Amino acid sequence: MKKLRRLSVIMLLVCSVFMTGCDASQIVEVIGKIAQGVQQAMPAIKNVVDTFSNIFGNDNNNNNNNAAVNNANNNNQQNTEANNNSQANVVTVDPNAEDVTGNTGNNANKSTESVEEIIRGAQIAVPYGQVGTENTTAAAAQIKAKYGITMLDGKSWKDEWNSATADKWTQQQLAQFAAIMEKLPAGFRGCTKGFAMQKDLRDNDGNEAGGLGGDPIMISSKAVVEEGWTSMASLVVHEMTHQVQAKQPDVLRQWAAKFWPNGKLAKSSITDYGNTDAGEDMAECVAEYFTNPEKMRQHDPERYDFIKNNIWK
Amino acid sequence: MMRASLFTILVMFMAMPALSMIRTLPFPDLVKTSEVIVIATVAAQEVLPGEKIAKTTTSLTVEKVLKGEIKAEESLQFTTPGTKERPVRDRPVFPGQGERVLLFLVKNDEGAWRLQNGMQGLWPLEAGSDKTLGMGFNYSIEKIQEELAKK
Repeated sequence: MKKLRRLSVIMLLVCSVFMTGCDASQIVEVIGKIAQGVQQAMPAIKNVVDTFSNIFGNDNNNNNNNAAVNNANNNNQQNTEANNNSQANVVTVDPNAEDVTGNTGNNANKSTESVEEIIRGAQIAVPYGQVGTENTTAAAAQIKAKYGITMLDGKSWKDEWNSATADKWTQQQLAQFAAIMEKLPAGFRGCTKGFAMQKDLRDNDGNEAGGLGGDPIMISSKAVVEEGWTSMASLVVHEMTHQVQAKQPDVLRQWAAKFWPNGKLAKSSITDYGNTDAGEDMAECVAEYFTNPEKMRQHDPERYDFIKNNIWK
Repeated sequence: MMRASLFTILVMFMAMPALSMIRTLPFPDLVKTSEVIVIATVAAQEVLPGEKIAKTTTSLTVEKVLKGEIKAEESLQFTTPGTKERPVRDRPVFPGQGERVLLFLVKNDEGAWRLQNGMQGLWPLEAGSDKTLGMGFNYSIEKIQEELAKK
C-alpha cells in the first residue's frame, strides 16, 4: 500500500513537470489546482473509490473460496452498490416519475448511472495554467473581485480527441460578461470559478463546439462573434449551468427524475441539442430561461417552474 | 491510505475535458449536407484502450439507404471516445449490438465515412417503434423522406 501511495505522488509530480515545462511556480500552481479539483470532485471520486475498496476488500476476504463463489459475491456486491446508488441519488420530486424503490430494475439503475456520469463529467477540473493565462486587465480584475471568477486568456492545446486555439478576452467581451454576471443570481453564479477564452474548439473530426465543460469553462470566441451561432449570454449561462450540476448534483438528479424518467426523455427540451441528455437539457433550458423567459415558460411551464424554484437562486 | 492513493490516481486520469454545446445544424441543413443517410444495425462493438480514456469501435451493417450511394449491407465502422458505461460528453455513443440507428454521413479527407456533425449525425432508433431519439427526438424517418422530396 505504501508503494501505491508513493507511486501516486511520483506520478503526480511527473505529470506536473510535463504539464508545466519544469517551471517551479507553475508546478506549485498545478498541484494547487489538482488539490482544488480533488476537493470539488470529492463526492464523485469517493463513490468510485468506495466501489474499488469494496470490490478489493471482497476479493481479499474470499481468497480461499472458489471462483464461482467469488463471482457470486462480486455480483451481489455490485448489485447492492447499484441499489444503494439508486436510493441515494433519486430525490423524490415526483414519485410518479420514477420508482424510487429501485424496483424498475436495470432501466432505473442505468438511468441513475447515466446521471452520475454527467455529474462526473461536469466535475472535471484542469489546472488553469494548462489552458490559459490569467487576464490582468482592470475589467478582468474587477470581475474576479466582484464575482470570484478568474478570467483566462486561452492557450492552444490538443489532445487525442479535441483541440483549441488561443484567444484573448477583448474589453468589449469582458464588459458583456460583467453585464451578464450582474443579472445572475448569486447562488447560480457562485458555482463558477474560471472562464477561458479560446478561438476555436473542435473535435478531431473537425466538428465545432461553443464551449468545453469543466473548471475552468472554456468558450469559443468564434461562436459568439456577430456572425457566430450563439450569443455570449446563452453560451455563458449554458456552461455555468454545468457548473451548478457539478457543485449541486442533487439539482440535476431531481431534474433527471422529473424530466427523464428511467433515462428516457418524456417531453422535448427547448432545443434539439437539449434532447441529448438530462445535463444538456437543463443547460439549454436555463440558458433560454435567462435569454427568453417567456419562450421557455410557454414551451414547458414545468421546466420553467423547476428552474425558477430550484436553480435560479 | 489506500483511499488516498486511489484518489490521486483517479483524479489524474479523470482530467479529460469534454466538449459542450456543439454547433447544431438546422434539420434541413443536416439532411441537405449529408452525403449519405442510412438506417443501420450495430453488428459488433469492441472497447479498446486510448491515451487517457477507452475508445469504442462499432461495426454496423447498412439496412436501408435513404439518401446517397452506398451499398445496402455494406459494413461501416466508427471509433468513438469513451464507452457506453463511460461516455464522453457531446461525443456520439452507439447503442449495443443488435440495436438500430439512423446515420447522417459525410466523407472525411481520407475518404472514410464520418458522422455529420458528430453526435448530431447519430440518431438511435427505439426498438419496436422506429422512433428517432437523441437529437432526432422531434423528427422521424418520414420527416427526413419529406425533406428529401423537397427540391
